[in-house]
Amino acid sequence: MKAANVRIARPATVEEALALAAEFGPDAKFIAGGQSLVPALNLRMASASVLIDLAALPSMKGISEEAGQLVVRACTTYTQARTHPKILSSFPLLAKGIGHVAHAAIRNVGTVGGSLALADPAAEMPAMALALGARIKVLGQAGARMVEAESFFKGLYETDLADGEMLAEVHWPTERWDAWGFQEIARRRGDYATAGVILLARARPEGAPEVRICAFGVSSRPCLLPKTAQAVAEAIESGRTADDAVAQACTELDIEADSHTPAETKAHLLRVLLGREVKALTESYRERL
Amino acid sequence: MSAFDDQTEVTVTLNGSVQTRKVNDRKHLADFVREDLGLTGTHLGCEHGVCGACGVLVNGTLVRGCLTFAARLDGAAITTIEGASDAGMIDDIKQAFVQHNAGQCGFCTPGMLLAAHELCQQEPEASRAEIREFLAGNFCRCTGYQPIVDAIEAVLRKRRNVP
Repeated sequence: MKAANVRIARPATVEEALALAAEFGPDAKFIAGGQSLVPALNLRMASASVLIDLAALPSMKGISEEAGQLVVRACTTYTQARTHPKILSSFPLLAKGIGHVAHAAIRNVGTVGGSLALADPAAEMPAMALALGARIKVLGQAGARMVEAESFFKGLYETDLADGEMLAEVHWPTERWDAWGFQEIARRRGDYATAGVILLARARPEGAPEVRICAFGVSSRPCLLPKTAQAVAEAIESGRTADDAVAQACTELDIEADSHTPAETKAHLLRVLLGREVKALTESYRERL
Repeated sequence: MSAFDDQTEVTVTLNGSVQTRKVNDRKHLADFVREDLGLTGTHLGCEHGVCGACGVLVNGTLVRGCLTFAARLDGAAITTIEGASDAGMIDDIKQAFVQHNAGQCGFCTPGMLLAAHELCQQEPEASRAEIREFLAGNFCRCTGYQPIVDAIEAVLRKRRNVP
């Protein structure tokens, strides 16, 4: 199938891009890599009369370190991010997770910012942004603002971006984690996740470690599970089994079916993946003592 | 409302030669090379990015022809399967495909050859399992995939032996 007629506008600056978005309103869409937008246009599941081409804007590409944060500009491709020396050395979770996104040809063109702006609940990038506590820089004609990942992902394909606003940068905190895990189940390699879990842990000076757990592909958006994480941390620290915490994890979020998988299956898979992550964490914690 | 599609003039280096064309904004790269430039080695299977038959190299990297609007490619270097083959970029890969019987109807083959080329660039140390995962983006209805994986494994082994 072919896309319907659409005009591709090539603004020379971010200001021009924002002005075009204001001028055309809901008839216009920003296009970065287009690896989700173009299939939707080809299948005529999405429509636009104007596409505002962001990929040509030089200020929208690149990775740099600023004020102790890693700044990834929105039109950086998955491949560029995955192979960047700073990501390989300081963000192994991102390098691993990006390897689960689609296929090489799509990773070469699809962008970090585009994935976050689309907010597919089964996508890896939004889940990693939530897990790592990233902050997102949003640009509008009124100016720039920063949004915490926890406030950015609101629901199914729904973000905090208002009409006419553009996702410009993602800021990743560079604090280190002692242990991390990424698990995803999909029907085929590269498919959207049927269920996924990210786990991060680091020792505190005293007491239980800090644990963070993010579930994705099982609800309308990626979800942090702070109660489960706390229960897991306490179990590990006191030498008890964390099985109860894992079994109760599904009570901490609204698990929703999608067109392929019923909610019960997603809940089961979430427990299985979380169980694996917790087991690995428990073993590595014991080894460190 | 205009009766005609919005158009853009693009100048690209196609398989080494500079070409300027007016293209409908909505036309994807695979249709552009097939219809506007007469190069039909690039194939269409799904037109939504999952089957891999439409692979084209843009500025040296593999992209989905069906997910790329040609109008966005002004100034780009485009290499189709014809160009890659003529330039000798995939000689050993083609030879391995023949030796291992990795092509039957040939529909997936251009996409598979370019995916193999991309794998050799991105993951030259790939294991058999990693080759299989990389090729998850290319569908074949004929061969059952094993001879394609065999061919690529042979290419990687041979390339690693080169001093």
